[in-house]
Amino acid sequence: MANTRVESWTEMPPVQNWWAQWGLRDWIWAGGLSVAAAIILARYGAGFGYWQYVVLACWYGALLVAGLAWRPVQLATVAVVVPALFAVWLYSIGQTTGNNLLLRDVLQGYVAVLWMSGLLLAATAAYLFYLFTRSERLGRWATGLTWAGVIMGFIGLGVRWRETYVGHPDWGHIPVSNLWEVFVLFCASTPLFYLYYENRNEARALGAFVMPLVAAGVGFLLWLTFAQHMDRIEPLIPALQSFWMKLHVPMMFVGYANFTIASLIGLGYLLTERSRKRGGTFLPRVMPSGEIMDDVMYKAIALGFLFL
Amino acid sequence: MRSLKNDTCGDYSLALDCFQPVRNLFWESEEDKRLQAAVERPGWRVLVQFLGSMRLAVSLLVLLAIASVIGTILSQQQPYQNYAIQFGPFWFQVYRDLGLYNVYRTLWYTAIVAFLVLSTTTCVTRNSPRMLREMREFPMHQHEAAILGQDHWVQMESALPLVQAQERVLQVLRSAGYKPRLEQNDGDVAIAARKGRYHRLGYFLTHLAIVVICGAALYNADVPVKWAEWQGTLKPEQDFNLPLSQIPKTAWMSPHNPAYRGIITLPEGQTANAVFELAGNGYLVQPLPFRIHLQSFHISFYSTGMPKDFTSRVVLYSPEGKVLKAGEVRVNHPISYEGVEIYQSSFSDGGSLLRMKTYLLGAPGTAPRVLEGRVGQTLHAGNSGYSVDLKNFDLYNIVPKSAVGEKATPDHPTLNLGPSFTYIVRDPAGKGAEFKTYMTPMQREGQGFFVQGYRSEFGKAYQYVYIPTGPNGGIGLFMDYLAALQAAARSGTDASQAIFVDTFREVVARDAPQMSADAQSRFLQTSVQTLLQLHDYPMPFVLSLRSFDHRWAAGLQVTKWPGTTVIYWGCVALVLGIFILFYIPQKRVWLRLRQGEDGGTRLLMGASADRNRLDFAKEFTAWTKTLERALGVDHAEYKEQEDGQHAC
Repeated sequence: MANTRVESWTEMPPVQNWWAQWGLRDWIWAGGLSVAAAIILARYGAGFGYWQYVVLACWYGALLVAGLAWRPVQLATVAVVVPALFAVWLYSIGQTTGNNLLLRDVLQGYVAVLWMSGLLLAATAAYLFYLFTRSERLGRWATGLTWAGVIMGFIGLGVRWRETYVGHPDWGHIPVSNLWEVFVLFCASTPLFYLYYENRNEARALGAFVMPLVAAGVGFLLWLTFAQHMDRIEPLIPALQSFWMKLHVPMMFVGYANFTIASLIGLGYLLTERSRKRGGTFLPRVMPSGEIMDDVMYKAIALGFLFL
Repeated sequence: MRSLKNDTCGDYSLALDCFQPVRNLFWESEEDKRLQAAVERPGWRVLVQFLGSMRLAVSLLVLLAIASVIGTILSQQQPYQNYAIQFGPFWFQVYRDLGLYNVYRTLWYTAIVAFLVLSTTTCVTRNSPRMLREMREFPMHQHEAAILGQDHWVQMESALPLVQAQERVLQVLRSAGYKPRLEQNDGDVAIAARKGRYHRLGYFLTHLAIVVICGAALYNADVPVKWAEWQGTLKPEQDFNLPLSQIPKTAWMSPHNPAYRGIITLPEGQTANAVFELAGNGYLVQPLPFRIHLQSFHISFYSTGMPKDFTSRVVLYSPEGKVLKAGEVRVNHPISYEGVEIYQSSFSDGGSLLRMKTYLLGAPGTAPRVLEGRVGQTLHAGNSGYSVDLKNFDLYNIVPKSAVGEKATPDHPTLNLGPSFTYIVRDPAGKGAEFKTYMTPMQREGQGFFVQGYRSEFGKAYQYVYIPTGPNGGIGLFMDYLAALQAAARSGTDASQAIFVDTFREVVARDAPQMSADAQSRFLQTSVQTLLQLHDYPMPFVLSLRSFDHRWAAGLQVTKWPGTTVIYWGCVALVLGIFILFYIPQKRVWLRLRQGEDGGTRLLMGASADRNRLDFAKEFTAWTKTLERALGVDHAEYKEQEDGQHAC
């Protein structure tokens, strides 16, 4: 009997080449990125110094790899870039926050960040409710709200980059130069990496541990906005006028986001373990297995360490 | 983790998971210990053992971390009196003796780094041969016990004959991207394969990077100078006002110093051949191999008044006067000459020439005197006994309105007050007050005002006097009015409202007959307020800036750090090493196939990965599934895995 199964077995296929594993979407992704990079080079390449090539190459490589390693990045990039470019175009044809409703209420950097804040707070609440109700529908909402918040955050940063030039062309800089701006980056990038780990491990319960800290970050951001008025665009001091800003700060925040996630999952792990040892059933039931949490922590720390 | 025979692994094992392989490397296994106990160990071997131990390295890193935390929290290199105020006399001394005011310059910090280099070097030297051997060689044969000791194993029985089974096993492994090797021993086949052969290179690179980075940093830290300072042959000078030629030779470092970092404030048009390095409460002098001449200094501002960019045009001369190099030094764009880098770090006033008018408050009828001097000088006001220290001059003052007691409106939050100068006036008794006078009057409801800030205690906020300007834009009209009022008061006239108005009429008729009635009434009203403000004014005269001849000084930092390039390469090695460590795990698999008595095949497969264990567990499960299918296995026996959790 066993032999029939053995005979039906055919030769194993050889290892596939890496490019043979690409789907149509991946090819479109790589092609689209290359076209975008080519357009940038054709339009602005004449004024490039060597470091602008470095920055462009880093962004190109990072997006390419990220999009292939985790396909939702592809759609999310489009969802960020298209509205942001639309807003930039609106500014370029003379529309302002005063005469354009879309700019005033949605796309303007500061307002997009407020949208992000609201969405992330809602997502946090949804994750917490999800932990207790285990309602699959609520869980999908939580994930969706987080995605929306992340996308609005990055739209906000992108549009703000343009806004630093509006009205005072000599002020222009990448919006990672003060505490407000880097907190927007933190609040947008931490959930993004979290979504990756959630998606990879189908471990939505982790959101109830990670997102509260993001919500605290949002709270601090709102305090900076309304009490300190740090959302105002200021010119850049000479010491910060360096191309390292465009590499160093985003890289640091890959590190911070991952360490934050690792620490909070660590907290989840410890609480779950304690509950298990004391005979509790709630956390051990709802949380992913210790091995998965351990693995996520390890991977988050590894990635964070590399970028730090 | 399970393979680790180490009882030190307790509850904290999870936190140390990252270091696990490193621990495996450096903490001795039981076997090592037994071997070592067998040979007699001379003293130097114990020392090497200690130096190369992970415990020492971790302790050193913890100490460095603590020192760096102190260096970050406690603001470094402040004047000592600030610390004395902050900590009180006792702790001030304790902290000073520990060197906490400049942690990175202390000998003990340097010593920790040196020990770290020594420890890591020992470690690398001791372990390199083993790591290289492991990278080169990969044992084909493993005892069954060793295979059963792997993280995962499976035992299967197949009805297929040995040759066919072995062929299919090889295919399964190849399709998973491995390159299996095979060895035959009568009726017994051993297959072995591994991925991530160069994983160990990660340890090598990271450790080498630590040695290289710390070593180069030690070179840059200029240990001989610190040693000489500690020995007392080099004494930092504490008087910051000495001219270069009078600084004692004990405060001079060698011109052949291999590494240094110093600062200098260089006024436009001047030349320097030495820089200063702050040390403790004083400074050391570092002679340069060239002379730096500051030709000119340029600064541009944003519309908010914030500096946008500043640039020094410098020329480097050899001691004989030959031009070596000329160029611009901008923030983040240093120039370098033979390994010496010159950075733009700050700017200040370089001794601008100021021409001022003095108006005496208590001596009516005297014409204003003209006073002239450079910033940094002390002037004497005639033989009155009053002295004026010209402290600073600022070319631009775009200040928030609230800073000068004005109400800010959202669209006009700032005010341009033009150039300003700061000075300290001391009366004959030595009592002093600090003043800040702005050159451009500000406008308030159609009336111009000179803003004059003053404070009697340093560190307190300025109080302001607003002196109304006359039709010619100066404060002469107000001063004349004040003088006329004082004259009237001396002649015994009663202070009535009529006197104020009449006196004003007289002064205006004399000084500014063209003034409109509106302007006159505005001026009169505001003057009365100013007279009240002047009641608290601490000195009997007012200085007003008439004209100036501006001169900048550039704050330059001169650095000779030959180790820096090496540090960059060390960083590259570190990043590469970390990447290899984290992302190229070593996965090893060993198989044993044996011909069974019934003509079938017995198979034992064991495998381990030293990173990403969860992913590898999945990979292993997938193999076994494929193997079961490929070999037509009815029964397989697996290693029992603990339920879901990592354990020791």
